[in-house]
Amino acid sequence: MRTEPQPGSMSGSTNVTTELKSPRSIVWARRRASLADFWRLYRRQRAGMVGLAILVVITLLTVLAPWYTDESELNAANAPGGRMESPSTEFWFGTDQIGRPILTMVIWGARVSLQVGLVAAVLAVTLGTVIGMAAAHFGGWISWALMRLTDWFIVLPSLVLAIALVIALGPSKLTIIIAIALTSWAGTARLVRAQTMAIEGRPYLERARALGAGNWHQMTRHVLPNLMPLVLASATLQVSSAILAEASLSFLGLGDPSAFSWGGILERAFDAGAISAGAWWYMLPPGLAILLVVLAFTLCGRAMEVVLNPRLRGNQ
Amino acid sequence: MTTTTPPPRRYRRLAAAAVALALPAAAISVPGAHASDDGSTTLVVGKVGLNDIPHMNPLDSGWVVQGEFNNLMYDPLIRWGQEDYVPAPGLAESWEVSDDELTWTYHIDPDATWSDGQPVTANDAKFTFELLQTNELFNSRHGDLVDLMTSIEAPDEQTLVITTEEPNAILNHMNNIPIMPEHVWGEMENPDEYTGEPGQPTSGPFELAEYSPGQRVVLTANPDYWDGPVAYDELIFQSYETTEAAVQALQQGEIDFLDGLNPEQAGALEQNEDITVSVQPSRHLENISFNMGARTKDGQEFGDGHPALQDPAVRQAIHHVVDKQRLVDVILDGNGTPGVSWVAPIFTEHFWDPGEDAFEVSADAGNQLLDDAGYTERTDAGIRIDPESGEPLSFRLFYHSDRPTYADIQDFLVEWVAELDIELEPIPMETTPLNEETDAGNYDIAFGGWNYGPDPSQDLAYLTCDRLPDEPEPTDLTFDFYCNDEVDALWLQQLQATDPAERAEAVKEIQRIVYQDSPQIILYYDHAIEAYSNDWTGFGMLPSSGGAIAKQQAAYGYAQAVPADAADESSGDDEGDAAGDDGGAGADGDDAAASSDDDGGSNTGLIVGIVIAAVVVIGGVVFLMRRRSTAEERE
Repeated sequence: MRTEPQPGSMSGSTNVTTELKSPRSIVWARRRASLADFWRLYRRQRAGMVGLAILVVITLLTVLAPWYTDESELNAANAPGGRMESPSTEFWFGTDQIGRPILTMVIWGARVSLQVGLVAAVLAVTLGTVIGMAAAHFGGWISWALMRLTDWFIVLPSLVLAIALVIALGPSKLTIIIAIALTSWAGTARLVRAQTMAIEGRPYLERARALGAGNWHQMTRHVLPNLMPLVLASATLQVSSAILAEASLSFLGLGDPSAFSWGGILERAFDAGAISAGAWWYMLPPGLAILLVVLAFTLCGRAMEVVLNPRLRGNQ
Repeated sequence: MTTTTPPPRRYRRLAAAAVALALPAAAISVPGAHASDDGSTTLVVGKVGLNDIPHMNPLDSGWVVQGEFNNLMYDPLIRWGQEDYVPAPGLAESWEVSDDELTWTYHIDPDATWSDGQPVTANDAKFTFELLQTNELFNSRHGDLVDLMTSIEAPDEQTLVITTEEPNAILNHMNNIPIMPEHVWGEMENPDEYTGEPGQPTSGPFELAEYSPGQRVVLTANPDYWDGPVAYDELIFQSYETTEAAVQALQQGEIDFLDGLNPEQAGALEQNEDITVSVQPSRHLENISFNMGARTKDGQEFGDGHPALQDPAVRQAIHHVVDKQRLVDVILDGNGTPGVSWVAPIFTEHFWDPGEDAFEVSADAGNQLLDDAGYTERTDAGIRIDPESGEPLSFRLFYHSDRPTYADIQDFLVEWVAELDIELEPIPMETTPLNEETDAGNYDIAFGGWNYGPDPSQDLAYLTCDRLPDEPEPTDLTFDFYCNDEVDALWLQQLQATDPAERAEAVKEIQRIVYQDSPQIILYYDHAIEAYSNDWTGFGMLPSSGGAIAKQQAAYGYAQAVPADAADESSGDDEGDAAGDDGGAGADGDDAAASSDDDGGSNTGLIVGIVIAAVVVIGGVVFLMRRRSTAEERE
């Protein structure tokens, strides 16, 4: 599993770019430099690198699935195996009650789980960021109202709310994404609000305001770039919980029945009596896949936090 | 008795999750079964779906489980015979019809008593039927029987005389309607508000002792039951949220009987030498149905069904490619029989066997039918075009997103139908919206399930033109807006045929026509898979030649159960039988022994798997902790 992804590829641009260029190129040079800096620090986080390696491998496996597996085996009419066969050299993870290979199901299930996890996390973090920034920037009654809304979503049990939403909207991939996003943005909003307030207290924002910068300019040009690292770390961690939420909802039978998400595979296993039959090969692979991906995203997210938070980084 | 479609299983799972979260483990554990200290014996039945029932009013019963309780507590006038569903004496020891076939006389069994000692009289039956006629709620359940009674008389305690305007075969079996005690129910102000308070006198083998909604139902045996008491003292129905949980309970000996198993669960239970698995034909079937053109009685069309499906050639062509045996083998693991028409094969008197007339599984035959019917043009994608409407033969196939079996079956259907150059577009939908769409005629092809019978009039009525709606509004009273004058005539003929043989003939003819016409394709009749502890024996099957134990339209299943040790004692003078039983048990034991290696293998595998999982999880956690702790140290 030690396929380190090309460490040196991004760090070449730390060279001094002293020749005078347009402001845009200066900004970009600065960003490249800080990215390289970030990468240099990130590389020292061994757990983060492991998480990243796992993610790269899983992404490759998922993207390349059509080239090394036969998707038609997931069609019940083409199932190649027998009924709940235990693992063999032909079917590494055995087969389900129709004879479909579990391995193929899990590989193709990654598409659904990752897709739902990533999209829902991006949606949730975007929503949380917008609300958090608005609350911090405008203050007053807007802040009060937005924060009460946030509090409300924080105290609501998110799984129950997500279940209710999916039932009300009718199960589909889109519904699940919306339900997860709507139930998990609140934490990010609080975090972003606090950080935005800290950033807005800095002198250069006062300067920008004195120079006549409007709300939009302040937000997009000064606050957001400073927030981005935090938002990215938060989003990475959010993917983990979104994947778990998707698996929970699918296991409860609220997923898209025509797709094989990991939670959906677990649901099929449960319905088919895999527990009674002792068909561990039907339940462990999707379970471990969820574990692995969630672990990888968590490791990456924590490593990013350490890199971005000087207090966690210490005196290296 | 047809049944309401059970709600999606996942709500139960949700409830299970909620219960599991809300209650400590101890609170949901189940009391032990079998003999208690005082020597009384208890049969504990695990029930999934017990929390479906809203109450236990015997006259307002829409769930199969509710029907089971009714059968155990209230005898009907006439029972479904255990041999072959031929009507058999219940509270009425005999009955006859007048020559003009309009007057029925029932003779109440003089031995029949209520559990409080009062005799069961003709007045009780008269009271019950009149209550069903006048009470609006009860009438909505039982109107089809009682509304045709023009007069109900009880000239003496033992005689009930019913007259009708038209001859009607339903009076030959009374459809298993329970009779209530007039001396108690006559005193009730609002009988439809009775929800299952214990202590009511009953005419059946059991009395209600406890009804805890969603948890359990306890019935105590009536030791003085007029038709011979049961061989044990108490019958408990314990609710389980999922069959998997109930299987574990059966393995642990917490319950004695469980129905509704799938092949894998049955396979696991067969490994247990203390448990017997019973696989027998049932009255349940799965089908796909075609929108026959939603329309009112006057012919006003509504809905958005594909016009080509009104052509029998298209439906028959599809019927030709559906390999029902393959579905039985793959989906049911062989635990079922290929479907024919609406009547399940266990109703031997009424079942129509297609024999030579069966649709041959052949894409060539299907394609030939379509070619001959003029579907020769094809789109660029190679899909046949309906010459009349110009539409390609591309049909929406609605299936229930909460029934995993349908998701598997539709894979097969799409593939098979593609051989006819017809396209199916599978669309998963929730049960409720799906039913709304099909009721409104907004579908092409839809999945469905049904519990047939035993009375043919009730179920086959869904195929008559009379069930078309008056207004272009949604209706669930018709099977796909089917209407065929020939079927209508035969339906009326069987309804009025007081001679059982004549009736059977008409019922079979209806099936033959409907099978040929194919407004629906019955995919298969699935078997009932049930399992019970070897502490018990004698469970009565319906029909006795091989049928389900649970979900009967009679009390035989549970009422005939006998504790195994009691059975051993009493079989002393019946050597042959006992030896036969022992042989069976021995054979089972051998099976279990022979396959115990496999069992061990899978257990080892399971343990290995769990260990690997544990290592991965613990490893991950330790790794994280270490990172975290070193981060703190470094600070």
